[in-house]
Amino acid sequence: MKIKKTHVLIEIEILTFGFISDRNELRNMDGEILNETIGVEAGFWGKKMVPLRFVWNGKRYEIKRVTMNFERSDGEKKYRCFAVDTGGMIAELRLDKEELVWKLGFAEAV
Amino acid sequence: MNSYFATAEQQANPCLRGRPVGIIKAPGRGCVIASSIEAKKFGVKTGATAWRAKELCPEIILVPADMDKYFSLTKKMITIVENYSPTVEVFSIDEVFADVTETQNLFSGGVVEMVYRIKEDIFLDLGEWIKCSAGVSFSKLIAKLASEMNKPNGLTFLNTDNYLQETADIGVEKVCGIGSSRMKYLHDRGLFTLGMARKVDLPLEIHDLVWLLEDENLVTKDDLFPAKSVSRTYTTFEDLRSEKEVEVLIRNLSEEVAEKLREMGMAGRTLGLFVRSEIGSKSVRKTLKDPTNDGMVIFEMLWREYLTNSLLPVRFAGVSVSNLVWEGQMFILEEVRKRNMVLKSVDKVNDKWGQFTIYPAIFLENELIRPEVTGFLGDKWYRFGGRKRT
Repeated sequence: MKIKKTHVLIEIEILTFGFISDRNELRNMDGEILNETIGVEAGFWGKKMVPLRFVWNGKRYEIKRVTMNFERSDGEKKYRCFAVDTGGMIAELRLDKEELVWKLGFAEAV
Repeated sequence: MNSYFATAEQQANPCLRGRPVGIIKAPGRGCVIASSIEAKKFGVKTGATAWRAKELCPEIILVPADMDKYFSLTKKMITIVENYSPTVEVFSIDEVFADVTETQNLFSGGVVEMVYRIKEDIFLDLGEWIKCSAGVSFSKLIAKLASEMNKPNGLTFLNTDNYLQETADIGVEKVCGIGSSRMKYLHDRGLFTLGMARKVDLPLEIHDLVWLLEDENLVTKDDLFPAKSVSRTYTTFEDLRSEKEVEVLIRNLSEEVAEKLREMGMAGRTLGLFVRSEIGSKSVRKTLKDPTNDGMVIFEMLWREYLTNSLLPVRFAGVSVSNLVWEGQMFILEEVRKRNMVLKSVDKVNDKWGQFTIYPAIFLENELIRPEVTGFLGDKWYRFGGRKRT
């Protein structure tokens, strides 16, 4: 009887929690959500990794310069982020350091 | 660092460079928390409402804060300074003190060469648009004042021979330690500059500040103490007019405080709530017999007290927990232990998948308020190597 009561208590506790699906997603200026997996070609400058170009929506973008690199974390996920300038677009590329997957976190046409 | 958050955004996004930029907490939030050098020229100061900022500077671009980005840059800045001295104090998110008494001897050009190298490293690692000002002196208080004398990108030396003369024309409010009430005390007596204030007799603590006599040692990471309290405040975009909205806000803040306590491996006995609107304010304080780090317990205690004489509308709310003990010192009843197991499971999921992956159902269909890094870095003991959740 005591065990049954314990089960009921835990069940109620679990039911009082909800789930969130839009975790750590950024929106562009038009409100469009971006956190898309993209293909990125990167090179190394000494010990530093530098993204050179990326493909998004079937279009290839040459990176003119990396304006900033920094880190983000979301739970256990650690991202190396690069703010990049393609000449016509400002974007943030994120490398999932564990899975080595690139994502486009943010893009804004200049 | 100069106009730190705004110049960081200008560094990341070249389109913002040379243009007035105001950093707001989030889209739709009404307060400018930092402004760029260009915006400051129009009189847009920290704390200005977005409406007022637009009035002062119609071209201003309001950008939501990205604290992950700023804190990541801060860590880089700290690493750079630590390369030049082992004795470093992280004073705030954009200010670092270093004791270079010994290490300056490693450079042929002494402290001058060292500071130029630090500035160069910051330029190379953080970016060409990021500006920093350095102050070099024989005490923390004077070095901080010196760093603010030539902005942006300045370098100021104050030594024992010139510091009184060089600082005579500086406004009293520029001295770290002279806040709004001390400033008012001095202004009410017609004392606006340090030179003026030095000509009259003043209470000892103000006297020491205007004569720049305070000389404290650096508080390095090893000297930091665990937090004495944890709190979270929030100003809403508009008045909350229903009890339901206030309930969700206070629960959210309680959960955030509780999560932070659990993350630090701590729990607290004294709970506090403060709510405010244009018509008045209300504060609640409650001390429990046993310490807690359960958001639901914190919320229920505070909410019950709030309802005894509720205040509506609400524009600002703050939840605090003090009287902290380590989690291991808690006496845990059987039913509390079961609840703690649920919380630990929730924490595990949130640690793995991100904050608020699981959250109380009361927040469904409500905007979640997420934890923020503050410029003051009140949790630096925890952030820089303190005890963490096991």
